[in-house]
Amino acid sequence: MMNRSKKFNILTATGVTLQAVVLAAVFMLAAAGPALAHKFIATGWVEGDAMALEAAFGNGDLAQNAKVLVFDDAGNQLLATTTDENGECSFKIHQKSALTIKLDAGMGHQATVLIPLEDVAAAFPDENAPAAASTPQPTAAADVEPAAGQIATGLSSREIQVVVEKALDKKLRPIIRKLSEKEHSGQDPRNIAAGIGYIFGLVGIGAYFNNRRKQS
Amino acid sequence: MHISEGVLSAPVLVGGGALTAVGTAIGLKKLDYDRMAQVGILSAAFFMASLIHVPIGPSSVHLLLNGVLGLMLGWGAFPAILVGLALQAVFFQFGGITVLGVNAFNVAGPALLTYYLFGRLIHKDTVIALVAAFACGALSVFLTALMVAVSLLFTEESFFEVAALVVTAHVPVMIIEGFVTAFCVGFLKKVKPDALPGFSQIPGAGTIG
Repeated sequence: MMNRSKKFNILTATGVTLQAVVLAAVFMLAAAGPALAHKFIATGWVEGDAMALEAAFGNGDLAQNAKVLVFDDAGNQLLATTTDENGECSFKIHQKSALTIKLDAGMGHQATVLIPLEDVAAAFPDENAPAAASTPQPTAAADVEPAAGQIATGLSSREIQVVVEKALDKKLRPIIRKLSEKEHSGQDPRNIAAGIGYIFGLVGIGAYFNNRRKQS
Repeated sequence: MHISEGVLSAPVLVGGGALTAVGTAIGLKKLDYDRMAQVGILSAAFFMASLIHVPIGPSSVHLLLNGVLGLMLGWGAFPAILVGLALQAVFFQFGGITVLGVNAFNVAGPALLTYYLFGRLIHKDTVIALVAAFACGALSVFLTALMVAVSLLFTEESFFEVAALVVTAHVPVMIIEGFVTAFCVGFLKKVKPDALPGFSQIPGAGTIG
Protein backbone atom coordinates (compact mmCIF):
# COMPACT_ATOMS: atom_id res chain seq x y z
CA MET A 1 0.00 0.00 0.00
CA MET A 2 2.85 2.34 0.93
CA ASN A 3 4.61 1.51 -2.28
CA ARG A 4 1.49 2.17 -4.21
CA SER A 5 0.86 5.66 -2.87
CA LYS A 6 4.48 6.57 -3.41
CA LYS A 7 4.23 5.51 -6.99
CA PHE A 8 1.11 7.58 -7.40
CA ASN A 9 2.95 10.62 -6.05
CA ILE A 10 5.71 10.21 -8.57
CA LEU A 11 3.18 9.83 -11.31
CA THR A 12 1.34 13.02 -10.40
CA ALA A 13 4.58 14.90 -9.94
CA THR A 14 5.69 13.86 -13.43
CA GLY A 15 2.36 14.94 -14.80
CA VAL A 16 2.47 18.32 -13.11
CA THR A 17 6.02 19.03 -14.22
CA LEU A 18 5.23 18.10 -17.77
CA GLN A 19 2.11 20.16 -17.71
CA ALA A 20 4.14 23.13 -16.56
CA VAL A 21 6.69 22.59 -19.34
CA VAL A 22 4.06 22.18 -21.98
CA LEU A 23 2.00 25.14 -20.82
CA ALA A 24 5.09 27.31 -20.66
CA ALA A 25 6.05 26.30 -24.19
CA VAL A 26 2.53 26.80 -25.48
CA PHE A 27 2.12 30.24 -23.94
CA MET A 28 5.58 31.31 -25.00
CA LEU A 29 4.72 30.49 -28.60
CA ALA A 30 1.17 31.73 -28.39
CA ALA A 31 2.57 35.10 -27.40
CA ALA A 32 4.94 35.05 -30.36
CA GLY A 33 2.23 34.58 -32.95
CA PRO A 34 -1.53 34.63 -33.03
CA ALA A 35 -3.04 31.27 -32.18
CA LEU A 36 -4.75 30.65 -35.48
CA ALA A 37 -5.46 27.60 -37.46
CA HIS A 38 -4.50 25.98 -40.62
CA LYS A 39 -7.35 24.99 -42.79
CA PHE A 40 -8.43 25.62 -46.32
CA ILE A 41 -11.73 27.39 -46.82
CA ALA A 42 -13.45 27.98 -50.12
CA THR A 43 -16.70 29.87 -50.58
CA GLY A 44 -18.71 30.28 -53.74
CA TRP A 45 -21.80 32.27 -54.55
CA VAL A 46 -23.71 33.44 -57.59
CA GLU A 47 -23.21 37.11 -58.41
CA GLY A 48 -25.38 38.34 -61.23
CA ASP A 49 -24.75 35.99 -64.13
CA ALA A 50 -21.35 34.97 -62.79
CA MET A 51 -20.01 32.67 -60.15
CA ALA A 52 -17.76 34.25 -57.53
CA LEU A 53 -15.29 32.22 -55.53
CA GLU A 54 -13.06 33.03 -52.65
CA ALA A 55 -10.36 30.83 -51.15
CA ALA A 56 -8.50 31.42 -47.93
CA PHE A 57 -6.70 29.56 -45.21
CA GLY A 58 -8.20 29.25 -41.77
CA ASN A 59 -5.99 32.02 -40.42
CA GLY A 60 -7.31 34.51 -42.99
CA ASP A 61 -4.37 34.25 -45.39
CA LEU A 62 -5.64 34.40 -48.94
CA ALA A 63 -5.00 31.42 -51.12
CA GLN A 64 -3.37 32.94 -54.19
CA ASN A 65 -2.95 31.02 -57.42
CA ALA A 66 -4.98 28.11 -56.16
CA LYS A 67 -6.11 25.83 -58.95
CA VAL A 68 -9.84 26.00 -59.66
CA LEU A 69 -11.63 23.24 -61.54
CA VAL A 70 -15.32 23.53 -62.39
CA PHE A 71 -17.47 20.50 -63.12
CA ASP A 72 -21.14 20.21 -64.05
CA ASP A 73 -23.51 17.68 -62.50
CA ALA A 74 -22.55 15.08 -65.11
CA GLY A 75 -18.90 15.33 -64.07
CA ASN A 76 -17.72 17.13 -67.21
CA GLN A 77 -14.99 19.65 -66.63
CA LEU A 78 -16.23 23.07 -67.74
CA LEU A 79 -13.37 25.27 -66.76
CA ALA A 80 -9.88 25.31 -65.27
CA THR A 81 -8.51 28.52 -63.85
CA THR A 82 -6.68 29.91 -60.83
CA THR A 83 -7.45 32.42 -58.11
CA ASP A 84 -5.99 35.92 -58.34
CA GLU A 85 -3.80 37.70 -55.78
CA ASN A 86 -6.85 38.33 -53.58
CA GLY A 87 -7.65 34.64 -53.48
CA GLU A 88 -10.71 35.33 -55.62
CA CYS A 89 -11.95 34.00 -58.89
CA SER A 90 -15.01 34.71 -60.97
CA PHE A 91 -16.43 33.22 -64.14
CA LYS A 92 -19.58 33.50 -66.22
CA ILE A 93 -22.18 30.79 -65.89
CA HIS A 94 -23.24 29.47 -69.29
CA GLN A 95 -25.30 26.44 -68.48
CA LYS A 96 -28.05 25.72 -66.05
CA SER A 97 -26.64 22.87 -64.02
CA ALA A 98 -25.48 22.26 -60.50
CA LEU A 99 -21.77 22.98 -60.23
CA THR A 100 -19.01 21.23 -58.37
CA ILE A 101 -15.99 23.42 -57.91
CA LYS A 102 -12.71 21.95 -56.72
CA LEU A 103 -10.04 24.22 -55.36
CA ASP A 104 -6.49 23.06 -54.79
CA ALA A 105 -3.93 25.26 -53.08
CA GLY A 106 -1.17 22.64 -53.23
CA MET A 107 0.47 20.74 -50.38
CA GLY A 108 -2.66 18.72 -49.87
CA HIS A 109 -4.96 21.68 -49.31
CA GLN A 110 -8.10 20.95 -51.22
CA ALA A 111 -11.68 22.05 -50.86
CA THR A 112 -14.85 21.38 -52.81
CA VAL A 113 -17.71 23.81 -53.20
CA LEU A 114 -21.09 22.55 -54.31
CA ILE A 115 -23.45 25.03 -55.92
CA PRO A 116 -27.00 23.64 -56.10
CA LEU A 117 -29.15 24.05 -59.21
CA GLU A 118 -31.46 26.62 -57.65
CA ASP A 119 -28.51 28.91 -56.92
CA VAL A 120 -27.23 28.57 -60.47
CA ALA A 121 -30.73 29.22 -61.82
CA ALA A 122 -30.59 32.65 -60.14
CA ALA A 123 -27.90 33.60 -62.64
CA PHE A 124 -30.42 33.30 -65.46
CA PRO A 125 -33.09 35.99 -65.75
CA ASP A 126 -36.59 34.98 -64.91
CA GLU A 127 -38.39 33.63 -68.01
CA ASN A 128 -41.70 35.10 -66.91
CA ALA A 129 -40.21 38.55 -66.58
CA PRO A 130 -40.47 39.73 -70.24
CA ALA A 131 -44.22 39.06 -70.28
CA ALA A 132 -44.70 41.25 -67.26
CA ALA A 133 -42.52 43.96 -68.75
CA SER A 134 -45.11 45.02 -71.32
CA THR A 135 -47.63 46.04 -68.69
CA PRO A 136 -46.37 48.95 -66.64
CA GLN A 137 -46.82 48.16 -62.97
CA PRO A 138 -47.48 50.82 -60.39
CA THR A 139 -44.83 50.55 -57.72
CA ALA A 140 -44.62 51.98 -54.25
CA ALA A 141 -41.65 54.05 -55.34
CA ALA A 142 -43.63 55.49 -58.23
CA ASP A 143 -46.39 56.65 -55.90
CA VAL A 144 -44.09 58.50 -53.58
CA GLU A 145 -41.68 59.90 -56.13
CA PRO A 146 -43.06 60.39 -59.60
CA ALA A 147 -39.60 61.21 -61.00
CA ALA A 148 -38.25 57.83 -59.98
CA GLY A 149 -41.34 56.22 -61.43
CA GLN A 150 -40.67 57.93 -64.74
CA ILE A 151 -37.19 56.46 -64.92
CA ALA A 152 -38.42 53.04 -63.92
CA THR A 153 -40.93 52.88 -66.74
CA GLY A 154 -38.09 53.59 -69.17
CA LEU A 155 -36.44 50.33 -68.15
CA SER A 156 -37.59 46.87 -68.99
CA SER A 157 -38.29 44.66 -66.04
CA ARG A 158 -35.37 42.50 -67.05
CA GLU A 159 -33.02 45.42 -66.76
CA ILE A 160 -34.45 46.29 -63.39
CA GLN A 161 -33.95 42.74 -62.29
CA VAL A 162 -30.30 42.85 -63.32
CA VAL A 163 -29.70 46.15 -61.57
CA VAL A 164 -31.41 45.05 -58.39
CA GLU A 165 -29.55 41.78 -58.35
CA LYS A 166 -26.26 43.52 -58.84
CA ALA A 167 -26.93 45.88 -55.97
CA LEU A 168 -28.12 43.05 -53.75
CA ASP A 169 -25.06 40.97 -54.51
CA LYS A 170 -22.86 43.87 -53.61
CA LYS A 171 -24.65 44.48 -50.33
CA LEU A 172 -24.88 40.80 -49.43
CA ARG A 173 -21.29 39.98 -50.17
CA PRO A 174 -19.91 40.85 -46.73
CA ILE A 175 -22.73 38.90 -45.11
CA ILE A 176 -22.09 35.84 -47.24
CA ARG A 177 -18.44 36.06 -46.38
CA LYS A 178 -19.14 36.39 -42.68
CA LEU A 179 -21.54 33.45 -42.72
CA SER A 180 -19.02 31.28 -44.47
CA GLU A 181 -16.33 32.26 -42.00
CA LYS A 182 -18.61 31.37 -39.15
CA GLU A 183 -19.55 28.07 -40.73
CA HIS A 184 -15.92 27.11 -41.13
CA SER A 185 -14.38 28.45 -37.95
CA GLY A 186 -13.44 25.56 -35.73
CA GLN A 187 -11.28 27.30 -33.17
CA ASP A 188 -14.08 27.75 -30.75
CA PRO A 189 -12.74 27.60 -27.18
CA ARG A 190 -15.47 25.06 -26.54
CA ASN A 191 -13.99 22.77 -29.18
CA ILE A 192 -10.55 23.08 -27.67
CA ALA A 193 -11.85 22.30 -24.20
CA ALA A 194 -13.86 19.38 -25.57
CA GLY A 195 -10.82 17.89 -27.31
CA ILE A 196 -8.70 18.11 -24.20
CA GLY A 197 -11.55 16.66 -22.20
CA TYR A 198 -11.67 13.65 -24.52
CA ILE A 199 -7.94 13.08 -24.11
CA PHE A 200 -8.19 13.23 -20.33
CA GLY A 201 -11.14 10.89 -20.48
CA LEU A 202 -9.09 8.38 -22.47
CA VAL A 203 -6.30 8.69 -19.94
CA GLY A 204 -8.83 7.98 -17.22
CA ILE A 205 -10.03 4.84 -19.01
CA GLY A 206 -6.44 3.68 -19.49
CA ALA A 207 -5.61 4.33 -15.85
CA TYR A 208 -8.75 2.52 -14.72
CA PHE A 209 -7.97 -0.64 -16.67
CA ASN A 210 -4.34 -0.51 -15.62
CA ASN A 211 -5.46 -0.30 -12.03
CA ARG A 212 -7.85 -3.23 -12.40
CA ARG A 213 -5.20 -5.34 -14.06
CA LYS A 214 -2.80 -4.63 -11.22
CA GLN A 215 -5.36 -5.46 -8.58
CA SER A 216 -6.28 -8.82 -10.02
CA MET B 1 0.64 19.47 -42.49
CA HIS B 2 -2.83 17.99 -42.59
CA ILE B 3 -3.67 16.60 -45.99
CA SER B 4 -7.30 17.36 -46.81
CA GLU B 5 -10.00 14.86 -47.53
CA GLY B 6 -10.37 13.70 -51.12
CA VAL B 7 -6.83 14.53 -52.28
CA LEU B 8 -5.13 11.17 -51.97
CA SER B 9 -5.75 8.04 -53.98
CA ALA B 10 -7.17 4.92 -52.36
CA PRO B 11 -3.92 2.88 -52.23
CA VAL B 12 -2.18 5.70 -50.37
CA LEU B 13 -5.08 5.99 -47.91
CA VAL B 14 -5.19 2.25 -47.28
CA GLY B 15 -1.40 1.97 -46.99
CA GLY B 16 -1.19 4.86 -44.54
CA GLY B 17 -4.08 3.46 -42.54
CA ALA B 18 -2.47 0.03 -42.29
CA LEU B 19 0.90 1.42 -41.21
CA THR B 20 -0.76 3.59 -38.59
CA ALA B 21 -2.80 0.64 -37.30
CA VAL B 22 0.37 -1.43 -36.88
CA GLY B 23 2.22 1.47 -35.23
CA THR B 24 -0.67 2.14 -32.86
CA ALA B 25 -0.97 -1.54 -31.92
CA ILE B 26 2.75 -1.73 -31.10
CA GLY B 27 2.51 1.61 -29.31
CA LEU B 28 -0.36 0.47 -27.12
CA LYS B 29 1.48 -2.76 -26.35
CA LYS B 30 4.72 -1.01 -25.43
CA LEU B 31 3.05 1.81 -23.53
CA ASP B 32 3.97 2.06 -19.88
CA TYR B 33 0.50 2.34 -18.39
CA ASP B 34 1.87 3.85 -15.20
CA ARG B 35 2.74 6.83 -17.37
CA MET B 36 -0.73 7.23 -18.83
CA ALA B 37 -0.93 10.79 -17.53
CA GLN B 38 2.21 11.75 -19.40
CA VAL B 39 0.90 10.30 -22.64
CA GLY B 40 -2.38 12.14 -22.21
CA ILE B 41 -0.77 15.48 -21.48
CA LEU B 42 1.55 15.18 -24.46
CA SER B 43 -1.37 14.18 -26.64
CA ALA B 44 -3.28 17.25 -25.43
CA ALA B 45 -0.25 19.43 -26.16
CA PHE B 46 -0.08 17.99 -29.67
CA PHE B 47 -3.79 18.62 -30.14
CA MET B 48 -3.34 22.27 -29.15
CA ALA B 49 -0.09 22.84 -31.02
CA SER B 50 -1.84 22.80 -34.38
CA LEU B 51 -3.66 25.97 -33.36
CA ILE B 52 -0.37 27.81 -33.02
CA HIS B 53 0.14 29.28 -36.40
CA VAL B 54 3.60 30.31 -37.55
CA PRO B 55 3.12 33.55 -39.49
CA ILE B 56 6.54 33.42 -41.19
CA GLY B 57 6.98 32.27 -44.75
CA PRO B 58 4.75 31.93 -47.78
CA SER B 59 2.30 29.29 -46.64
CA SER B 60 0.03 28.48 -43.77
CA VAL B 61 1.88 26.31 -41.29
CA HIS B 62 1.54 25.48 -37.64
CA LEU B 63 3.48 23.77 -34.90
CA LEU B 64 3.61 19.99 -34.76
CA LEU B 65 5.54 19.01 -31.62
CA ASN B 66 6.06 15.51 -33.00
CA GLY B 67 9.75 15.64 -32.05
CA VAL B 68 8.86 16.16 -28.40
CA LEU B 69 6.24 13.41 -28.49
CA GLY B 70 8.61 10.94 -30.11
CA LEU B 71 11.41 11.70 -27.71
CA MET B 72 9.21 11.38 -24.65
CA LEU B 73 7.03 8.47 -25.68
CA GLY B 74 8.84 6.38 -28.29
CA TRP B 75 6.31 3.98 -29.79
CA GLY B 76 3.69 5.52 -27.52
CA ALA B 77 3.79 8.55 -29.85
CA PHE B 78 1.63 6.59 -32.31
CA PRO B 79 -1.51 6.33 -30.16
CA ALA B 80 -0.96 9.82 -28.72
CA ILE B 81 -0.68 11.40 -32.18
CA LEU B 82 -3.56 9.36 -33.58
CA VAL B 83 -5.87 10.56 -30.82
CA GLY B 84 -4.70 14.15 -31.25
CA LEU B 85 -5.23 14.08 -35.01
CA ALA B 86 -8.63 12.41 -34.72
CA LEU B 87 -9.80 15.15 -32.37
CA GLN B 88 -8.36 17.85 -34.62
CA ALA B 89 -10.25 16.36 -37.54
CA VAL B 90 -13.51 16.28 -35.59
CA PHE B 91 -13.29 19.61 -33.81
CA PHE B 92 -11.21 21.81 -36.11
CA GLN B 93 -11.87 20.11 -39.46
CA PHE B 94 -8.12 19.78 -40.00
CA GLY B 95 -7.41 16.90 -42.33
CA GLY B 96 -10.25 14.44 -42.14
CA ILE B 97 -11.30 11.02 -40.98
CA THR B 98 -10.45 9.12 -44.17
CA VAL B 99 -6.96 10.65 -44.34
CA LEU B 100 -6.38 10.10 -40.64
CA GLY B 101 -4.20 7.03 -41.21
CA VAL B 102 -1.92 8.77 -43.69
CA ASN B 103 -1.66 11.95 -41.61
CA ALA B 104 -0.97 10.01 -38.42
CA PHE B 105 1.77 8.00 -40.08
CA ASN B 106 3.30 11.12 -41.62
CA VAL B 107 3.55 12.71 -38.19
CA ALA B 108 4.21 9.72 -35.92
CA GLY B 109 6.65 7.88 -38.21
CA PRO B 110 9.30 10.63 -38.10
CA ALA B 111 8.66 11.03 -34.36
CA LEU B 112 9.54 7.38 -33.81
CA LEU B 113 12.55 7.52 -36.11
CA THR B 114 14.05 10.53 -34.33
CA TYR B 115 13.43 8.77 -31.02
CA TYR B 116 15.62 5.91 -32.16
CA LEU B 117 18.22 8.31 -33.58
CA PHE B 118 18.48 10.72 -30.65
CA GLY B 119 16.74 9.05 -27.70
CA ARG B 120 19.95 7.78 -26.15
CA LEU B 121 21.85 11.03 -26.65
CA ILE B 122 19.58 13.09 -24.40
CA HIS B 123 21.04 11.34 -21.36
CA LYS B 124 24.56 12.56 -22.14
CA ASP B 125 25.91 15.83 -20.77
CA THR B 126 23.94 19.02 -21.27
CA VAL B 127 25.48 20.35 -24.49
CA ILE B 128 25.18 17.07 -26.40
CA ALA B 129 21.68 16.52 -25.03
CA LEU B 130 20.49 19.95 -26.08
CA VAL B 131 21.99 19.66 -29.55
CA ALA B 132 20.42 16.22 -29.93
CA ALA B 133 17.05 17.53 -28.76
CA PHE B 134 17.21 20.45 -31.20
CA ALA B 135 18.11 18.09 -34.03
CA CYS B 136 15.31 15.77 -33.00
CA GLY B 137 12.68 18.52 -33.06
CA ALA B 138 13.88 19.98 -36.35
CA LEU B 139 14.46 16.68 -38.12
CA SER B 140 11.07 15.25 -37.23
CA VAL B 141 9.34 18.26 -38.81
CA PHE B 142 11.58 17.99 -41.87
CA LEU B 143 10.80 14.31 -42.27
CA THR B 144 7.08 14.92 -41.84
CA ALA B 145 7.21 17.55 -44.58
CA LEU B 146 9.00 15.04 -46.79
CA MET B 147 6.39 12.39 -46.00
CA VAL B 148 3.62 14.79 -47.02
CA ALA B 149 5.36 15.26 -50.36
CA VAL B 150 5.68 11.48 -50.75
CA SER B 151 1.97 11.04 -49.97
CA LEU B 152 1.12 13.59 -52.62
CA LEU B 153 3.41 11.85 -55.11
CA PHE B 154 0.48 10.14 -56.78
CA THR B 155 -1.71 13.22 -57.10
CA GLU B 156 0.67 16.11 -57.75
CA GLU B 157 2.72 16.14 -60.90
CA SER B 158 6.22 16.77 -59.68
CA PHE B 159 7.60 15.34 -56.47
CA PHE B 160 10.65 17.60 -56.14
CA GLU B 161 8.64 20.75 -56.65
CA VAL B 162 6.12 19.80 -53.99
CA ALA B 163 8.80 18.53 -51.62
CA ALA B 164 10.78 21.77 -51.97
CA LEU B 165 7.62 23.78 -51.38
CA VAL B 166 6.53 21.85 -48.29
CA VAL B 167 10.01 21.78 -46.79
CA THR B 168 10.71 25.49 -47.31
CA ALA B 169 7.31 26.36 -45.85
CA HIS B 170 8.26 24.44 -42.73
CA VAL B 171 11.76 25.85 -42.19
CA PRO B 172 10.52 28.33 -39.55
CA VAL B 173 8.59 25.53 -37.84
CA MET B 174 11.69 23.32 -37.83
CA ILE B 175 13.73 26.01 -36.08
CA ILE B 176 11.00 26.79 -33.55
CA GLU B 177 10.40 23.11 -32.81
CA GLY B 178 14.13 22.56 -32.40
CA PHE B 179 14.17 25.19 -29.69
CA VAL B 180 10.97 23.89 -28.07
CA THR B 181 12.38 20.35 -27.92
CA ALA B 182 15.73 21.55 -26.58
CA PHE B 183 13.91 23.68 -24.01
CA CYS B 184 11.76 20.77 -22.85
CA VAL B 185 14.68 18.35 -22.61
CA GLY B 186 16.90 20.90 -20.86
CA PHE B 187 14.17 21.70 -18.36
CA LEU B 188 13.34 18.07 -17.63
CA LYS B 189 16.99 17.11 -17.28
CA LYS B 190 17.39 19.72 -14.60
CA VAL B 191 14.10 19.30 -12.80
CA LYS B 192 12.87 15.77 -13.35
CA PRO B 193 15.36 13.57 -15.22
CA ASP B 194 13.35 10.41 -14.55
CA ALA B 195 10.55 11.78 -16.70
CA LEU B 196 12.76 11.34 -19.73
CA PRO B 197 12.36 7.96 -21.41
CA GLY B 198 14.86 5.18 -20.88
CA PHE B 199 16.21 6.82 -17.74
CA SER B 200 16.13 3.62 -15.69
CA GLN B 201 18.21 1.80 -18.32
CA ILE B 202 21.19 4.11 -17.82
CA PRO B 203 23.73 2.47 -15.49
CA GLY B 204 23.98 4.26 -12.18
CA ALA B 205 21.02 6.46 -12.96
CA GLY B 206 19.40 5.81 -9.60
CA THR B 207 22.31 7.39 -7.73
CA ILE B 208 21.92 10.78 -9.37
CA GLY B 209 18.63 11.27 -7.61
